[in-house]
Amino acid sequence: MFAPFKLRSTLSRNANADPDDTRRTKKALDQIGYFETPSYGMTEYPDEPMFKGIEDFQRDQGLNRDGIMKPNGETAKALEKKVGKQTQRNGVNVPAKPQATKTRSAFGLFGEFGKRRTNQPRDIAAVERALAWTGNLPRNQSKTEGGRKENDLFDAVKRVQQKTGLKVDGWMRPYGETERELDRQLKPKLRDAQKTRGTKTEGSGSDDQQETAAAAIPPIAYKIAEFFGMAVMAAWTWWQSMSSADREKVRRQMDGNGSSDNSEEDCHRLHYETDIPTCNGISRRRGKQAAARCFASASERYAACLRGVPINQLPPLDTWNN
Amino acid sequence: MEQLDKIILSFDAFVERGGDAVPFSLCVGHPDYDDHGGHYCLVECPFVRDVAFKIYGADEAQACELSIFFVRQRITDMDAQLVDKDGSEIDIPEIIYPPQSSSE
Repeated sequence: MFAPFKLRSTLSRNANADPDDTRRTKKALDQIGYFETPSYGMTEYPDEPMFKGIEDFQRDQGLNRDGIMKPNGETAKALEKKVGKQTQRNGVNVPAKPQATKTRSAFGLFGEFGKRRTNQPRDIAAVERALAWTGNLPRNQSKTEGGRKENDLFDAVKRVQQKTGLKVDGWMRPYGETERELDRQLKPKLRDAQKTRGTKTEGSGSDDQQETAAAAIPPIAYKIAEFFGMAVMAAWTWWQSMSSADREKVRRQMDGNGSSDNSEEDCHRLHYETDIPTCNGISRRRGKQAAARCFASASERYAACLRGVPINQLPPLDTWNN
Repeated sequence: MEQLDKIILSFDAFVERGGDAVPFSLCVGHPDYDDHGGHYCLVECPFVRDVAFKIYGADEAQACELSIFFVRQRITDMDAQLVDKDGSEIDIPEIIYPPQSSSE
């Protein structure tokens, strides 16, 4: 039986989480497609996939994207409502099969984009494509020869803002309203491109230049976007910037699903973002003795992970539950 | 990047791996505390990791103990061996925490 979603205490990266809250939150997020179960499983301990799920949910609900959920706070209420609706649709109070509601971002920025902003090269490339494909950049400007004048892009951003009733300031930030608007406009184009890929090729004589260009996105970009939780265009830009050795490394990582070829980064993340906060929580709740066992096992796991033991085969974190 | 302010252990040796011996250095910072993980030691050991990293424990003493445990474990995992300048096998000394007071 799936209990109604209610929080007892605040969930945040810096707070000591209640295990029941964590479990319920993960289940709720999973039910509505916002939680990707990591290779080490759905645990009762807060981890990065959960906070990322909360942030994605906040983002899609137009809430402040801070990864924090408080009892009776806006995020908790929105999640409760969403889960409740889905439970009603399913007719009974049982866990629903995860719905395919999660929509991968089509466009996402790494930093601020606009006049005197960060303007990372990968963002410039992604913004240029996004603007061109959504028809916000005149065709005679959509060919890059030795680099577009960034001012053209800033003007195009202003046009998007003007057309859609947003504040016209010519810049955007990650998760800001202009980025979301561009993402919204781009999503259907990428969806269509995915459908038509294979039937069209670049330069096949199609009149629809934008659609043809979108269809040129290689399948690997979608796979990377899915695997690493990135925007498709960012994934493509990243892929293009990689050396062949890096491409091979990424391919191997995706093929092995990270289970047999941990990158050191995975090990650092598991240790510092999951195991250590868990042990710290145990220290606060159950005292030093339990914490000592937990930290000792965390160190063993960290070393084993770096040695190449697959994450799902690491020795368990001693949480002294039994 | 955090810097080591107070050092509780500084250890230099050579590390043999695959027939080659290269300099090895380890610096462990005095235990400190953060809200994220609790008590920790900042460890600088380029052989193990390019950047300084934190090793956490339930208290200061365990943070020190696990710092040494972790570095030893990584050396073993990399099929390496610590040696002195004469090529004799040596080990990283334990950290005694709290430090024994010395006569001043």
